[in-house]
Amino acid sequence: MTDHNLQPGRPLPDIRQTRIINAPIALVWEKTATSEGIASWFMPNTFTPEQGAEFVLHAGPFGDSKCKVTELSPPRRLSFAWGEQWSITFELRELEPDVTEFTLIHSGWLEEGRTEFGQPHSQVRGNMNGGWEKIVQKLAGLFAS
Amino acid sequence: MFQAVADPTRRELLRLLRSGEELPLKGITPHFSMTRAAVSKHLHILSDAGLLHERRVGRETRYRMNPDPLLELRRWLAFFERYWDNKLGMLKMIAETEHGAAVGKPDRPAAPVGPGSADRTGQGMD
Repeated sequence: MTDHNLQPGRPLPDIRQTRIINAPIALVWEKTATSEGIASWFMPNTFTPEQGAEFVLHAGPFGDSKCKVTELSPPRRLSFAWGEQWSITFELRELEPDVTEFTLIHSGWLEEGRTEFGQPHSQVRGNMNGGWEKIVQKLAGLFAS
Repeated sequence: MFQAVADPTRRELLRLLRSGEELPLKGITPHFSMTRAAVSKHLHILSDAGLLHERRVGRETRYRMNPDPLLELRRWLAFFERYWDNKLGMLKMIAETEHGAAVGKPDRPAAPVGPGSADRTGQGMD
């Protein structure tokens, strides 16, 4: 696991994970950029493959998250905003006809001016102290299976 | 908290206080080329974000770093790393199973045998 070097002077790095998938890029793209595909491994959703399209991720007890497609370049790259804070990117690369490299990038961990953290500081502190912990616990429970 | 840490002066303040040393305003101000009032304002923002402990001693307030919120953020990040590890394992399995079925081969989803397999699907969480 990455050491995040969590020092106040540094922004947090993106979460970035890569997998080699033994399947053609077209098939992996179908799992990446269609509503059914995303639902099969990630979350139920109302995704539509259009630049600028807004959609919802249904994250169980975590609630519904508003998302928006910010980049769509079939069959290589899909980016979307997840809530106010995060950005998710799926990157695909064909290594061989039946071998695809898939990279996930989860960013937005230390951005200035994001609205979620533009709330009064007392509220942010509340989120940090109580809310987050609960959300993480809920999420952990949800995906523990 | 993110905004609190995003400002360079406040990051400098945290660096100064990170050693665990407890300093009053008048001990902090000389490190910065700005007024005491301006430094005080930055300290307040950090304090409101839960990043500093304040303690009153006589007539002065002393400041010390509170690392807890950063630790919490680190737990949050660690959680998501495991989360994605799990999800991408799922994606790989689904795509490979489907592809295997399409080309009429027996499924060999998770682990290709042999030294050539560059990937490591982290199925085993924890």
